[in-house]
Amino acid sequence: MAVGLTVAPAAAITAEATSPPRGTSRPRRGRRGLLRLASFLITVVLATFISFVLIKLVPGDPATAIAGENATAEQLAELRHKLGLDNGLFQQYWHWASRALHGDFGISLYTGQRVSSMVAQRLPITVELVVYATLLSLVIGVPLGVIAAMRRGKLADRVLTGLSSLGVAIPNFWLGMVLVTLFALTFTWFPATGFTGISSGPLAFLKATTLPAVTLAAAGIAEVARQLRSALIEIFASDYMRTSRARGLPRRTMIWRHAFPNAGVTMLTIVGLLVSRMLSATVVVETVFAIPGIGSLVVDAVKQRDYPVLQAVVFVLAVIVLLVNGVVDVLYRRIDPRIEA
Amino acid sequence: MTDRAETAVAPAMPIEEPRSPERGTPGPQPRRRTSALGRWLRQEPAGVVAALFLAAVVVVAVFAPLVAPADPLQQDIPGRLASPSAAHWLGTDDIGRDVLSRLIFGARASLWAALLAVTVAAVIGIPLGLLAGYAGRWVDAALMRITDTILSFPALVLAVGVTGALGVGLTTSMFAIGLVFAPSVARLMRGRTLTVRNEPYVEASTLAGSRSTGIIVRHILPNAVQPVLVQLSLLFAAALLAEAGLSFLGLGVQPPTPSWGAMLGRAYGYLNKAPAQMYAPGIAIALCALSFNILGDAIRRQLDPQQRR
Repeated sequence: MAVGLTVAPAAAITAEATSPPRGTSRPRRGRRGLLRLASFLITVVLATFISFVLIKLVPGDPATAIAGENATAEQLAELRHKLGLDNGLFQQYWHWASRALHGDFGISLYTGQRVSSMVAQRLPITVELVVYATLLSLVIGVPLGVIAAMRRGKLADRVLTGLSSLGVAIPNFWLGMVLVTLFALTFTWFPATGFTGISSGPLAFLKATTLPAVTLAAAGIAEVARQLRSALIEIFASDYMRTSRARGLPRRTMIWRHAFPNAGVTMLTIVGLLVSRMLSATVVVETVFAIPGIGSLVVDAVKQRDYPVLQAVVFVLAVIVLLVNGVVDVLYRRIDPRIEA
Repeated sequence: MTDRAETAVAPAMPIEEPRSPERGTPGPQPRRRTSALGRWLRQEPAGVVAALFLAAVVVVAVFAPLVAPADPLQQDIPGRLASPSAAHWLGTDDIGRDVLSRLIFGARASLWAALLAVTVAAVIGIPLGLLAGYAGRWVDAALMRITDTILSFPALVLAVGVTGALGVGLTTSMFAIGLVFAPSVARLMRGRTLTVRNEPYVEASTLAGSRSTGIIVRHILPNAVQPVLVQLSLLFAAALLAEAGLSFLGLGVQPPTPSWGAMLGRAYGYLNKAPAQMYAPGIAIALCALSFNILGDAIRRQLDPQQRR
């Protein structure tokens, strides 16, 4: 509790108000950290298995599926060897997984490039886009959530709640198409397609990336606003908030000093969730905006039957989500000392 | 608090688990049939509207051949990309097919696809969740570890990957989406099973010597499944959106069969010349997804009065 008190006093206050007295036995901090690390590694290994199994789902012989019916026996044999299909099942998995964990995913069947370098080339683009979209979701979603919670049941709240329901129901790629038509084709404020990295200067980046980022962020804004609203409403109803009101603290102090720190855990969870959802959404959104990121890479890989690329992208994205979740997990243990292993 | 910790481990899914209700008596609810309809109309007007809208869409989809003004596959190259007119209320597409008719027939493919995905998710997720919750110990630990892993894959990426491996098409892509959704169903089902398993009537049945399968089918499943059914309604919306995405990419419903996502995929090619092509299918998807979400939330509130906010 001592650590918690220095980091987040408000959270500690809640702990006293709500959590029941704990038992005395709990594993030491270091050991819990190790346990979490072990569970993370087990999940990564399982993820290699799931990614590997993808190629086993290909009906019939993957080599024939790739090379086509007219391929000669030698071509097929060579392809099987390339894919490692000429080994036993366990050997195949071991081969794939041990190389994957070293960042080696073999050679693309379509371009002949190393898969790892293709991923490395495209990943930063998607990361820039997702980070921008996440920031947009927070910058717009947080104030909306606060307003909705403070004006609960009033017109502003109803409008915002309605809009956020709409925000999660609209297909993101369709929103992208609408935005392109409106802001790139009708008013030529933004380019319709393509990508400019942040290294080309912030203005060029904003110009090229704002439409896809807004497209990605729409559902994120809705999610942030909705979750923050319900977290704040729960907090407003809590004992310590009632006490603060009774003490006559100004509204602003109550919100900034008490409500916000306590909503922090919720916010962190949402950010973790957003990253995963946005990576998911890049698959279609990058296609709409012709952005050469990792989302469009996975679509290309499917169309070209480029299984090594497919496996690699699926695996890499899972690891990214796991890492983000790991960071979120560590952070909110710091924010909220009540959360135990 | 455990609730939050759980979300944190597995946030990859499009739908959050409804918070476990923790009711005093998860057994059979007291019945108040007399005013059920009136209560619904009074307390959940939006839910009723959503349900009626979805019912109308289903009716239109089922009777598509009778409702549609034209053959959705009939081409008319000279009259392509026409604006709305008396003959073609929503205009024609890039090879002159009637957009309204395609929209109506598209409802079939889109709803069928979503139904397929949700069914797959339920058929895989419910038994696994029951098993994990009832068996406990290492079975539970192993199954939950696997579901957590699957949940850590971005949903659509994994669905695209599985579709890519199985081969493109409506059935395979919806199987993929169902597979990706199944872990969240399993998780919720497991949580409910854990709660119900310790109820006195289950213990009584165990002591009376009933077999495990009997207990699961007769006692646990009916008492634990309610929130899962709500979740399935919400998953329906997610599946509809996922189908739209995959068909838009050309991985789902294959031409010439119309589906809303596939129509948007074609419209995308003519964004410059005929931007109006994209409005009808997009709005159809959004309205249906919205309705499923509203309906799911309404049912959840009705089942669990503590949730009403």
